[in-house]
Amino acid sequence: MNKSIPFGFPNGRTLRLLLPSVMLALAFPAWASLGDNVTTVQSDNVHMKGSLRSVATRHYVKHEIQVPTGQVVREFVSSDGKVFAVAWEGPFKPDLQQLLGSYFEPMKQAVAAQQRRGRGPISIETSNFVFRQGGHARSFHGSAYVPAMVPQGVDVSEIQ
Amino acid sequence: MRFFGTLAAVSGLLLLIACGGGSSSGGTSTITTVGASCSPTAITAGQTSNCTATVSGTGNFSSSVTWTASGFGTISNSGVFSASSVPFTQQVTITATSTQDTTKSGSTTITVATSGTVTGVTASCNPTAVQTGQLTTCTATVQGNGNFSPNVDWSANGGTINAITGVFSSSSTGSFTITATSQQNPQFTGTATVNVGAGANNVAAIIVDAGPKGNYVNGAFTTVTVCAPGTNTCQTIDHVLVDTGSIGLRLLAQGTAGGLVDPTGFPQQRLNGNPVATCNQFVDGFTWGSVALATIELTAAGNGQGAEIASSVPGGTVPGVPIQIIGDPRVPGVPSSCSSSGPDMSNLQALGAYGVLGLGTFEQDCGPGCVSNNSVPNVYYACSSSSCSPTLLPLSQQVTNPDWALPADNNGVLIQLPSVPAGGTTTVTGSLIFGIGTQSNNALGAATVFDTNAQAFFTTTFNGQTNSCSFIDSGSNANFFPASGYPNLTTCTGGNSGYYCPPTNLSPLVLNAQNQSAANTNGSSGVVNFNVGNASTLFSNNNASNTAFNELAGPNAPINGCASFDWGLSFFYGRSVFTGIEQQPVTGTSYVGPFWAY
Repeated sequence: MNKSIPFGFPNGRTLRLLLPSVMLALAFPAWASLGDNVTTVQSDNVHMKGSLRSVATRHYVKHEIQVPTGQVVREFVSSDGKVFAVAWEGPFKPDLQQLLGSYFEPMKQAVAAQQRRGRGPISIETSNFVFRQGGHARSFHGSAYVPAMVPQGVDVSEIQ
Repeated sequence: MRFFGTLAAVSGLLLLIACGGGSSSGGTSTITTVGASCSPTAITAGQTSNCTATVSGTGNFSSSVTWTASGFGTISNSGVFSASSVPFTQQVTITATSTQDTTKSGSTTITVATSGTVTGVTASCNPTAVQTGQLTTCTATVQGNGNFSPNVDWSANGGTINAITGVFSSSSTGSFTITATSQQNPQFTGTATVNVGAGANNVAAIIVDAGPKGNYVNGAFTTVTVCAPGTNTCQTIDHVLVDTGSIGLRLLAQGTAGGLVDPTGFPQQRLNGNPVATCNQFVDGFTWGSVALATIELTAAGNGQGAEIASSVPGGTVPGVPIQIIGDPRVPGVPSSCSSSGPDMSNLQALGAYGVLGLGTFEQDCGPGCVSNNSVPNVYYACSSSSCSPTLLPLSQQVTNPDWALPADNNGVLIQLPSVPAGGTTTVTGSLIFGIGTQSNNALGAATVFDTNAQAFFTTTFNGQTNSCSFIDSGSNANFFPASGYPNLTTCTGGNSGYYCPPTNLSPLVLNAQNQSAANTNGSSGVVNFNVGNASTLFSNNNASNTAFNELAGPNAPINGCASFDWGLSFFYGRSVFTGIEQQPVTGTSYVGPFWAY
């Protein structure tokens, strides 16, 4: 499909100038993992079979992927092309392994390391990453980010 | 005063008889008025009346109209009204609407009187013997001559009956007389008798304790018995988590999963002959296992009452209720499309219970999204001997809410837990009661009913933040909510980082939040006062032997637009909390699920 198309935002500054707060419908889906460089993960594109919209803000570009099964996945890409945060919501949970990438196993280990004493939403805050997931049957939502990669000036409450 | 323009000349007036054609061609034309009249204006059932329209307009307007009647008959395209049978004399409104300008119409009325005579009414109900809370449907036959009305009004000398549909139920026992009264001639009635026997024992015990692994807090556990359908081969499983945030019974298999159930003897659910497995999505992870069919005994018989037994699914074609047997060795291992969704909860260590009894507001766990979808969700799988692939699955084959599958008491559940003292207590016992308003022990009473939206959410406002994806969930072991910088609501450090640890000298924090029905529903609201203690202190109280805390709380994902205030078991202490199932009414009230009430 689109694997050969170089995709990314080599110059976030230019993009900002071109697309201030404009929702842009792109013809090909992006799907990157947390912490990865968005230009290096094109092999993941087809996985979600989603449709993509992107919005540029002052400090990052937010890609919103509509997954056919009903979820919405959002990826936050800094001007240097790094996915510094992801968020999701919908009737099913997304492929968190792909979405979290190298943070998936640490997330599971962090959940196992918590003395949870019961069941409920997940809230993980380590120095390396933050992961939260809430909801119940048929409706889930969550977010994850890498604090060290969050661009200066970005309020983490925007990651949702 | 100045006038602009000129009055349009009325260029045409057309009397149209038995309208059919009419035409409009070129130029500007407008409709000014439409009139209607019928002759005769008084008829009896079975007769006809001829209606005509008078259309006035300018230019080359169309005289064409469409005809409608308000009821008790039909009207043809050419304006002939044919009266059907009527229960008593009726006024029927006949309307002609311009086809050129549908904002222009004219109306007239026809009086339709009864014709024919009613000579008798008979009534019957099926079934004639029910339990308290169980529905029975009554039907009437009206005898007569000519064009008499077949309509009746229903009444009963007790219980609750729908005057139009004849659906009857009673929450008390006894013999009830059901009466059908002819609408056309109320002198004629028919009666039937319905005997309402004692309902099933609808109470299961709840215990809050440390659970099978000795490390659980705020876990509401009950005991269920599962049997191979049509047999007396049963297994009784204790410490099954009562969970109003999920749907369906899920039990850990013996063996590596660490559970109690021997899957042998429970038929596997099949799709086109292939065994069905499921990757169930809990908020904190997945459980993988077979979908199997079981008869579920939710309560035991006693005190002259029978057990609550779910033995089939509404609309199902095979005996048994679909459940999940987690870690069932008869299905292949976890597919990557399932394991990629998060932590694996398919074992006793992670689940903390021998199973989960999901009694939320839905009838099935997945619902329509697994029946048809643009892309197949990773929830149900069809399996070969070596691997499983995602599949769609009909509703009647999906893992089903066991309460909804009961023959009676099937419109929801009531959970009652006593208050617990500040600082917590070691053990609490309470009740899981099946049915709402079906027996003397589960009436809504003064409870406030909060309707939910289609996603089973209502709204909780806390700290000025509107959490529109909020819910009440006995399977969450604390109140989990976004604090958004609220003073002193700090997260614990270390292993307790899933909970709040406000400073000990300020604990417990005394807080309140406002619950509201979901947008565009019944508009209920109410303030909830709640406390938040220091979780690390709570866990160490009483030599760390306490397991029930009403002050336990923790953080939740702050997703804007769908933030959740998750009212967990902390909320349930000292309350009666109802969970109403979608589409299911509470007889004697106007309430229909999905809702929560407390």
